[in-house]
Amino acid sequence: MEPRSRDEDLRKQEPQWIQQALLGDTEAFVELIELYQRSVFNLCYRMLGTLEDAEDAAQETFLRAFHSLRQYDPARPFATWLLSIAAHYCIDQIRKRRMVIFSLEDLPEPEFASHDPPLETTVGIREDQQKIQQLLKTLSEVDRAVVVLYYWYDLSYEEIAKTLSLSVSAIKSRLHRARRALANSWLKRYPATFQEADRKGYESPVF
Amino acid sequence: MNHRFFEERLFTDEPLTAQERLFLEQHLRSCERCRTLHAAWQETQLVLESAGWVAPRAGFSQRWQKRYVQREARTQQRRALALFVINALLAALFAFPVFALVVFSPQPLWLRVVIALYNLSALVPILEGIYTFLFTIIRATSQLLTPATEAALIAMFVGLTLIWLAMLRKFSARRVTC
Ligand SMILES: [Zn+2]
Repeated sequence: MEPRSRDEDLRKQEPQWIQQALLGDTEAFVELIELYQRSVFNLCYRMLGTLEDAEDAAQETFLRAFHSLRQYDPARPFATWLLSIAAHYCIDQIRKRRMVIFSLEDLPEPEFASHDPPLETTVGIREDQQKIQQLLKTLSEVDRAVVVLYYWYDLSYEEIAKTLSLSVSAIKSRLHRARRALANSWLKRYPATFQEADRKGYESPVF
Repeated sequence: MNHRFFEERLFTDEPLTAQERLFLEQHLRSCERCRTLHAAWQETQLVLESAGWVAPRAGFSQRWQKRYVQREARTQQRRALALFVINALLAALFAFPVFALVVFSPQPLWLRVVIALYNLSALVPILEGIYTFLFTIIRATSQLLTPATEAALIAMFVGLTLIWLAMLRKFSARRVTC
C-alpha cells in the first residue's frame, strides 16, 4: 500500500471500525471505505479497463465486504481481504462479459475505454497508462490479477496466492507466463521503438 | 544455451549466478530475437513500475451509502414478496379442501347451513363449561381477597390496559411514517 502518514494514523482505528461495522454500523464501515477506496478502485480499474466498470466493481466489492464481514479473519490484513474480494469479483465479471460476447457472435469488441470521459481530465492518466491498459487487456483474467497485485501492490507471492486462492507455484508460473506475454504484446504493438534499443543491447550490460 | 533458457531466466525473479549472467549476456550479443524481446521487456517493466494508482471520483463513500440503502430496500421488498407468495400458497392449500367440499357436496346449500349450525351447537356445553370455570375462579378469589385489595387489583388491570393501548397506538403511528 502507499506509504502515507495520515493513513497510518487512521489505520490504528481500523480494528475498532471493523468491530462497529460488524454490529451493522455503516458509518464505521464508511471510514474503512475512505481508507481503502483507492486501493480497491485501482485494482478494479486495472482489471476491467474503464472508470465506469471500476466504479461499479469497487462499489460492489465494498457491499460484499460489508455483508460478509463476519468471515473476515483479523489475523490477515484487511486490505488484502478487500483486494481478494475485488479480484474475484473482477475475474467473474470478465468471464461473464466474455460469455456475453461469445453469445452475441462476431460483434466487434468495443474499443477500450472509448465511452469514458477523457482520462486526463479525470485522473491524470498519461499515454503510458493507456499503453499499460492495452497490454493488460491481452492477458487472461487471472494472469492480469497476478500482474496487477505484483506490480501495484507489492504483495509477496504468498500474499498474492492467498488473495487469489491459488498456490505459490501457480502464481510464479502465471507471473512468468504473463511477463512473456506482455513483452511479446509490447513488441507487436510498438515494433518501431526497438531499432534503437536493439543497437544499445550490444554496448550496455543487460542484466 | 538456447532461446528457451534465455527466456526462462529473463522473466523470473530468481537471482542469476555470475556464470548465468555471463552466458546470458553472450547470448544476447549473438541473438537478435532475444535482444529484441529483452528490450521490449525492459520497456514494459519500466511502464509497469512507473504506473501510479487510479483514484475514484470524489464522493465514492457517499455513493456507496446510497447504493447500500437502495440494495437493502430492494432486498426487503423481495423478502416481503416472497413471504406474501408463501402465505398465499399456504392459504390456498388450506382453503382448497373446504372449497372442494362445498363445490362437490350433493346436498343443497340451505341444508348444509342447517347441518353446520346443528354441528356447531355441540360446542354449547363446552362454552358453558368455560363460563362456569371462569365464574368459579373469580368467585373463589373474591372470597379470598379483601375489598381493598380487590379494588387495587382492578385499578392495576385498568392501568395496564391503558398503557398497552397507548403503546399500541404509538407503535402503529411509527409504522405509518416509515
Ligand atoms: Zn535467443
